[in-house]
Amino acid sequence: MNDNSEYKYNFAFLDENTKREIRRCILKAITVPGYQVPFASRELPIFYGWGTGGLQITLALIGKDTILKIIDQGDDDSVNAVNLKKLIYDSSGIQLTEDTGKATHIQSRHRITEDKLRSDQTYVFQVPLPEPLRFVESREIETQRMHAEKDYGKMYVKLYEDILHHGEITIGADYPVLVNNRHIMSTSPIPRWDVPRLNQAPNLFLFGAGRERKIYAVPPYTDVEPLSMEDYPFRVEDFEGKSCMLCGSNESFLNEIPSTNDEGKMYICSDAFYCKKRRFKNDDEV
Amino acid sequence: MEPILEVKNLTKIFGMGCPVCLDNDLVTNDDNRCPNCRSIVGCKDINFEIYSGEVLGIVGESGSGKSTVLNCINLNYPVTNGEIYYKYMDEGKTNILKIDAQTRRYLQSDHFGIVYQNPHLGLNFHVSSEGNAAERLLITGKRNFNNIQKKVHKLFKRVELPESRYKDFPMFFSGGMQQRVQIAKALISDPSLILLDEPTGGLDVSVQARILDLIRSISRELKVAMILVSHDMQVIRLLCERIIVMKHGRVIEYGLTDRVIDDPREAYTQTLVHSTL
Amino acid sequence: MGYVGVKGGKDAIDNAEKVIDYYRIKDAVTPLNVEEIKNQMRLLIDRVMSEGSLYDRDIASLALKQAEGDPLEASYLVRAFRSTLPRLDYSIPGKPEEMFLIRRISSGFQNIPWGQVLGPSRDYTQRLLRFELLNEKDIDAVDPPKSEESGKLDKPVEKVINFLRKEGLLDDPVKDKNQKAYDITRESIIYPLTRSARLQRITRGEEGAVLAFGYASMRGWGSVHPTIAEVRVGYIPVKIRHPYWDSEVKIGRILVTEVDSICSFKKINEIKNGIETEHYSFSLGYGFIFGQNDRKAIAMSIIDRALSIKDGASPVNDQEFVLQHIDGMESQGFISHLKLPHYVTFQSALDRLRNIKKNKETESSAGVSV
Repeated sequence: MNDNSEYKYNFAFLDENTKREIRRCILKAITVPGYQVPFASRELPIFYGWGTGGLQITLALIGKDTILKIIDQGDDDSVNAVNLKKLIYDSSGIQLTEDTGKATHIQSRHRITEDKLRSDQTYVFQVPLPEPLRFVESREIETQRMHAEKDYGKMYVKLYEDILHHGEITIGADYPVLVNNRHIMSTSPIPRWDVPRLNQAPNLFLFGAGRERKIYAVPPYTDVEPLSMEDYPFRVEDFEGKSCMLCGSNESFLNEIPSTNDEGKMYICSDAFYCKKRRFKNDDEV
Repeated sequence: MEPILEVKNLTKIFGMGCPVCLDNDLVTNDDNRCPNCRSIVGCKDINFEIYSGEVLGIVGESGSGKSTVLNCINLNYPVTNGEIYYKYMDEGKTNILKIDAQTRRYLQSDHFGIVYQNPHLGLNFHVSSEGNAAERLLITGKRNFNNIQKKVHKLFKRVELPESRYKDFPMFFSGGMQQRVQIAKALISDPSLILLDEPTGGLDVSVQARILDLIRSISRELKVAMILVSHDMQVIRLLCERIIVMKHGRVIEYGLTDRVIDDPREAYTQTLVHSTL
Repeated sequence: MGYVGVKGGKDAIDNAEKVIDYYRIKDAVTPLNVEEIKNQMRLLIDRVMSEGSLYDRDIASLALKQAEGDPLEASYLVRAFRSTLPRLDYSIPGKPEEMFLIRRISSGFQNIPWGQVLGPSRDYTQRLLRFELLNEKDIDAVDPPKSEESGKLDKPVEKVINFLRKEGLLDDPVKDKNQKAYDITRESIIYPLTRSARLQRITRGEEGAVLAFGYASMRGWGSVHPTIAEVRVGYIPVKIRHPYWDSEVKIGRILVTEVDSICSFKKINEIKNGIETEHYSFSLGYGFIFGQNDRKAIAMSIIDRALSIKDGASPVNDQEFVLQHIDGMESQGFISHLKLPHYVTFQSALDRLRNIKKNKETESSAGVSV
């Protein structure tokens, strides 16, 4: 890692005007929960499509006292998470952590941590495709109108069709939700397992899509309801009878790994820190 | 008894419009075009009322403005001038041409039903027939799959659609079947008003007859108000008690069907009547 | 145990960086001189400046060296660098008559005032490999052409389309001369875009995408097959307004390619004083690219025209379809992102499919028809 006193770039890389613009967009997003606020996304040393939206939100919000955690699919040590941390650290020198409890700012790709979050923590998602109505409408101009007029009939028709032809709703990750009873929102591709965590949470959730140039938010204690039919309710992934082979947990989202054992597969907790904490709960240092 | 719908001075101009076509009533050339600004006068100063249980016919040649009137009533596009009052919206005190998009959609999906001559306008060909009919209930907030499906099936049975085809996509249906899906879709929300725009145009004669029978029995059974647009006097005579005759966007004659057909006052009406009988 | 955790991400990245550098120079004898890249790979530099959206030959050359010659990777380095630079000012709109031309041709007219100059164009060269370049040891001096010698024009060279405008055959599309250009790098992009924003998206677009859309339009998918009124390659001065004295200050010059295409004629209806008038005029497509790049500028002018057609039904008439997919940084980023781990989302999809299959099997074994 570079010597902190020598960065060639501004603190947290982006120039101050850009940070201000992003913060204003964030404020606007908070005032209209679930609404996608357009913003002038910048090119960063990390590719579009690899987390620049979440990254720009993080860079705009961090200060010298921030304690930052970054995960990818639940893993702190995944290559992309490490890369993002490197860029942020090199341009700011802030403290990094794997400990969900210690972090004040968490950036994540595709998962919410198993540990409960607190009201002093900000949780930022990296979003590839922010528009939940893309399932049923490819044109941006039309989806803008549908959101403005709360014209969501087509989405519910899709659910009806799924149940009609397949017996259930087939949407896997990136499940659409109704926020504050007004806007339909994409949850970014978090598994269905994590969707209930968005409802009435004590913390702020922010969503950044860099390439698509949108920021949106779920403020604390907001109603977030997954779209479903009354008689075909929303269901999370099924881990019945399965547990993590490292820590034994049967209450967390599990990654399935093909194996040469009899069953042909094994399961590990997706949230690496959570798993580690359970395994080493008698040690002081995790 | 109050009318279900009151239409006053309904005017729709396609194009820029100008003082000549907006304020005056010149029918100089023998067409709909304003001689000054070249805009097309879709319909001008249309006035009528319709009551529950009634079937009102609008008749005229192609281009006379019949479909325009229907599209205006169904709030499909903004109008140039006029007011429409609907009994179940604010007790007929609000002009429904001036409401917001969400209320408009609610009226279109719940209170009104429309059947187009061209099924592409009324149906989504990328969604199953069931889905097409269910859409109107889903738009107005119904969220129970089984209840919705039961209602859809009940209506499909009523319009005599074969059960094996319920899940199929309309693009694989014959013209007559597509119209049946449209009719079921229009009926599913128990509307107060149904608009039919040449519902049997382009269908062969035997199919036409069956669809018309269906429409007639529905009208008797449900006592819903219907406005039927057609250029075919036979159809009009069969289904409508009262008719309006339109030419070049204007109403030129109106009255009880039998009276207008047996004793037309305008030359144009005479031509219409005689060219079919 | 059979499971090997994918840990050590940090080490993997550090090692990968070393491996990249190994591949970059493993067979090198002498390090590539960035000056020489700048001087002898002119057209590649032009491309990187165009897609990187930054006119700086030194930066573009460095980026190409670092990227081992990959122009998209180099453009990305330039764009990311550009993000660190503050926006100091906007230049005064350039005047085409001030362009110092090194190349100028017209397909629409046989002869034009001031004449046509082929300039440094490969259009009429034979595409045969020159093997003697393998043994080029010294740089032989080559006399510069006359046009490069004087350093400035003796009189302004009027654009060909101005002649059409004088005759009333081409409308002046800019109604409000005081309107400000939209800056897509500083303001959010909301569809439908103004023409200013559209042109900026196209000029920064990835060369292959721009060519493909222009080509498709010519072949009927955008219904635009134009005549070129003029292709100009030359140096234009860049001027700003002095912050205190309000005078124009020239701060430098850049080499650009500019294309005016004449497309089909259109009828324009207007109501003037209550009287309806109509007149016919040609429609214009405009292309503007950093550096020398005829084909991209021509393709740009075609796309500009195709997107200006109201209610066009072909794919290249569709703003969202063309402009959302024309930027190389976005396309390479999103396609590459598929290499990132997606196992959690995949897990979700596996769960759905397994569930559905289980339900169907249960139903058919219970004798229930679906």
